[in-house]
Amino acid sequence: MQSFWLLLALSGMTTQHDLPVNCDANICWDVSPQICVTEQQKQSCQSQLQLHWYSDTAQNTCLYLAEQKLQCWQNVTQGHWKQKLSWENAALTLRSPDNQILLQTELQVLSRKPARRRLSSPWSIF
Amino acid sequence: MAAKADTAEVCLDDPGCATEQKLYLSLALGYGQRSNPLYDGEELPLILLPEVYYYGENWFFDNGKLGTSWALSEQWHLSLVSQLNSEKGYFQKWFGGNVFQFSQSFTNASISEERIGPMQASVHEISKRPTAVDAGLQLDWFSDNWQVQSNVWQDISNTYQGQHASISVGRYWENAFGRWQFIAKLNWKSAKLIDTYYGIDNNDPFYLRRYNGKPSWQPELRLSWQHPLSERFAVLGFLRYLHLDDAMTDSPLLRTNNITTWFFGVSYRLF
Repeated sequence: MQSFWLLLALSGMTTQHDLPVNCDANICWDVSPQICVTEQQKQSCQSQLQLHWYSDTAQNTCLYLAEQKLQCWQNVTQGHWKQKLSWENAALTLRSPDNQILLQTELQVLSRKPARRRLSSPWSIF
Repeated sequence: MAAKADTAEVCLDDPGCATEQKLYLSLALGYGQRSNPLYDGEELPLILLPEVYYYGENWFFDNGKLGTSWALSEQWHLSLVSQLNSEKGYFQKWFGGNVFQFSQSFTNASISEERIGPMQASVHEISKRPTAVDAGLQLDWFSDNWQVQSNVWQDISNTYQGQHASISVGRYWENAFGRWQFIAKLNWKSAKLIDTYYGIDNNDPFYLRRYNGKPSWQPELRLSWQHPLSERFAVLGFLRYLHLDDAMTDSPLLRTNNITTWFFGVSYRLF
């Protein structure tokens, strides 16, 4: 890790075997954290990502980060995945064998610092 | 393992920062003035002020300054910049460097004006001063609350054929009243620049006292304040004082040794 980093868990942390709450759909998941915050811009951000998906019916699914396959499950109603990532902005997706996206969550890297400092003073036209 | 995508960046809600590839446009409505140091020069009323800036990946436009910038490190930035020279704004009220638009000059040469005195020259009497475009280098150093900026400019429009430069130290802070910025700046302007705008030569009426410009040192203080009222509205004010040395005040055109600018109003951010 190159820098100080801070994790925000926006979706709420769940313990490893808890089922997702407030799930009205046939398939749901909890992903945590969804945002990794660096102190400075363009610093790498590393954190442990964990997710838990749950379905009414048994599913064959695969987990992707962007287009990178992370793990697959066969004929199960729920799955759990946990790993330390060096991440940037990317879509985390759970897909069926025919590559249909069943669930999608955007992972983000944010910086606590301004994107950049201005090179003129505010209101300096005159 | 790493996901491949662009890094998202967040810009704190601060007037001194910008998110890349986002256009910022704000208007401030209020009242203020920029004084005019010239005999018969009109003060510039400040009623509606624009603030426009855009920072792309490789270039930026910020309130009339167009440039490209390289981050030498987290704290050092070097930029190649260009902008309209601001001197003409004292000779022509609605000058592009004042409000991004040109209109008719009020500085037509005339001998019908009443004489001010034997040693003075009215802005109405002299020949038209040129519109100049400058290009140069800008070096910035940033820390959390400090900014040091130095500029070297060269006329690239072949008008005054001179240079000017500046170095400034700025301090930012925030308190219960809002966000503050204080800048101390030292400007240097070459003899050719001073001579072109404030000199009196054979292009000007024969009866005016001749004056050859000299290099000028001009210290400047700026205090700015902004208090956010909501996400888009803010109250703002600023006060600027530019001191003119004898290279300027020796000119028959000059009636004061300073230029003051102030404004107080409410701003609204459109983008």
